[in-house]
Amino acid sequence: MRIVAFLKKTFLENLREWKVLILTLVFAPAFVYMMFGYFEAASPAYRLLYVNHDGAAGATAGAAPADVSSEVAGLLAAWEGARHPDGKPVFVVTEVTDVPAAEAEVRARDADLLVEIPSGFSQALRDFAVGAGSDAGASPPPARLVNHADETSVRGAMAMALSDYTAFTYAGVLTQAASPLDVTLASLGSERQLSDFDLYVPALLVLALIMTLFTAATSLVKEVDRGTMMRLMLSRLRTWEFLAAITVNQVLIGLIALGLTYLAALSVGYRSDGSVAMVLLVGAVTTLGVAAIAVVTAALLRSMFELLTVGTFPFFILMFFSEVMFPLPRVRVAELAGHVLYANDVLPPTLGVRALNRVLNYGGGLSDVGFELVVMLLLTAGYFALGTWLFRRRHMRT
Amino acid sequence: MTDTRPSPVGASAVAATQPDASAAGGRDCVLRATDLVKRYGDLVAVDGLSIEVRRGEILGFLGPNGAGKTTTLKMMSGLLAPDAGSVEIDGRPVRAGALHGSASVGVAPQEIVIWDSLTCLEQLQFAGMMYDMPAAAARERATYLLEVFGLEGKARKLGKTLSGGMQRRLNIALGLVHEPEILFLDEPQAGLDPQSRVLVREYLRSLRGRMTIVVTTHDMEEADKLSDRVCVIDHGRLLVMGTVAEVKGRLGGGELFEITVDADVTEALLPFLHRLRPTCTLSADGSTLSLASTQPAEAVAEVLREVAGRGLLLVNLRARGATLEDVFIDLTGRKLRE
Ligand SMILES: Nc1ncnc2c1ncn2[C@@H]1O[C@H](COP(=O)(O)OP(=O)(O)OP(=O)(O)O)[C@@H](O)[C@H]1O
Ligand SMILES: [Mg+2]
Repeated sequence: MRIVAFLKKTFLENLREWKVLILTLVFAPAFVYMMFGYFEAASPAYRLLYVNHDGAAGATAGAAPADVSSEVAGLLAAWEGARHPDGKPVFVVTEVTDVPAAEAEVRARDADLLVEIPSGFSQALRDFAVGAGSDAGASPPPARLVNHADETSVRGAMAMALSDYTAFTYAGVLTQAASPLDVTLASLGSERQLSDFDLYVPALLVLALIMTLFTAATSLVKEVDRGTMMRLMLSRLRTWEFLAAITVNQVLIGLIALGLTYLAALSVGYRSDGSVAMVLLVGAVTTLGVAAIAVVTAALLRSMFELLTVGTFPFFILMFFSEVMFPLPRVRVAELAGHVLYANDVLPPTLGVRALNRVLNYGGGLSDVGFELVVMLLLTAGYFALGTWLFRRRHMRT
Repeated sequence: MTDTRPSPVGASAVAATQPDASAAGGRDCVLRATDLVKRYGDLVAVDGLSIEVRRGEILGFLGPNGAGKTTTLKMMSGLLAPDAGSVEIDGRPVRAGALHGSASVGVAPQEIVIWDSLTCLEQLQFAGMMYDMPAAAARERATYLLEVFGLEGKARKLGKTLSGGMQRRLNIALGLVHEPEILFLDEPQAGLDPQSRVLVREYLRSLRGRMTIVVTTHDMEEADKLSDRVCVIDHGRLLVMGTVAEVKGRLGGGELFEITVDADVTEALLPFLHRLRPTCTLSADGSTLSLASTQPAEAVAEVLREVAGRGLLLVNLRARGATLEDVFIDLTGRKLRE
């Protein structure tokens, strides 16, 4: 009964201190809309510049000097026609004439690649096509392209690889030269076309859960700050009941936040293969982990002021290191029953993101995320033990 | 201002540094604190304090700022672990520092401790339920206490929206919800208007015999009106403990003489009265000398002789009953505490 009364009280307080609650509930859904807008607006296409020194040798008579040979036109068409799996263009292709200016653009990473089409490009392709068809011994020299790129830029390197691949394929078809190598793709992607945004949705859902760090820590720190901890200490309420009531309340708030965020994702066209029950299960376990970290956080703080200043540290640590904001390089630390554990898996939300991704985007079931759930629960138990010990030491001895 | 104190207090019959065996033994002792010590760094806030509280009494707990009253109350209510010594309530040791305390203790702390975002009714009911009261009973008790403390009109108002005095009344009510056996009140009257003071005092008096109350206050008149017994502590040590009459009787059998002359007595008279010191308590306040003595007639005559001999003019001479404040000042001096 005490635990129910305490749960009701905590919930009432959360409702009345609605600013924190509203922030917690709308932060992640708002993020969904912002990220969706960003992914839509920001073209993932590589910006490819080209300069054409090819002398328009095959241009039809009377055509304007700017006109290009059919070979160059074909190459441009190949670049422009290249598509990502989701149907979006790979390149935005732009012609330039001022090479130093274009190089500066690439250096500043405003463009990803500058391709120079040297003079004689079309002629060389044509010669090659004829040579390849004849029985003559030595092949004519190949047509050349020159890449001006910053190979230390990931986008630059990607753009170069994709543009080269497109050009090779085009030249191969054009000249009917046999390729010594044929590479095919065995797709490991989901059967569904996953956009970058789709892959980001699990992280956004976990972001909603991370936000409950604030409501949970508020519920705890407030009793300390206001001195009411003393009344609780005098009463028959037990430490575990106190923490359990606040945790249950957080799981409820977390699931509401998760639901709202999921609805926001649905409203912008996100579709999932996963079962709702699995999403809620993973969500609940992840919130438990966040609540446990909130207990540790609250144990280290004495006032609401400290919570809103120092308390943002653990919040940012959770945001960054659980890869909710962006992916991090993975540091392997152990392998357990065929599952790899990474350094940042010590934060339950990291595992939550991974498990939710499997459920939402790959239709994973309990057996697919069982390992993550077990590890999360173990970590959560550890954080609760540490948090309870610290909280009692620091706030329950006056 | 000068502070003239007689010999150390321990000599007196009522200065019960050791609990008065006959009195405490004769009546049921509900709380026994033995040799309590609490240190904060170099500061000894409570220094070997032993107190027995009798069942059903109202004990006024007096002492200057920083004397160690709050610290002692916290140790007696199980909120603070003593560095040495022990506290027993009904013969059971009080363990500090864990949730799930004893339901027999109620506390209204010196600072206001209420839940800002719960209504008056909600928090009283909630507090009752934290002591395992069923929801309905807790609500009934909450409604009753709101009436008692004149807060029935504020039942549905949030704690943070109450005035300071109302919050203080709620603070007291929160300590009473579960009908504790012993109630510790740390300056319950501070910040209350005269009406509220009367209301709180009357209610506490109505509990006399049913509930044991330990109450600190700086208002000597209040302590006089409210308490069955009082104790005065300073520097964490017990100076005196007894019934109000006993404690007042320490000063010249409860009778005090005030002799007013036409000069500042600190310079003009006091230095020449050292002969009286062993038997008298003298204190000077401007042109008035206060005198308490076990042989008052001789002492007053001696002072008057000195007045005449020094060519001073006697402006007024009167006798009055000693107040707790007189005893308090006598015991703890006139100097402010830093
Ligand atoms: N948490 C603390 N840390 C350090 N010193 C403390 C602490 N609490 C109390 N003290 C010191 O212990 C002494 C006794 O304090 P206490 O609060 O018990 O006095 P008090 O008799 O209640 O005074 P007041 O009448 O002003 O309320 C004081 O000197 C105070 O400065
Ligand atoms: Mg105090």
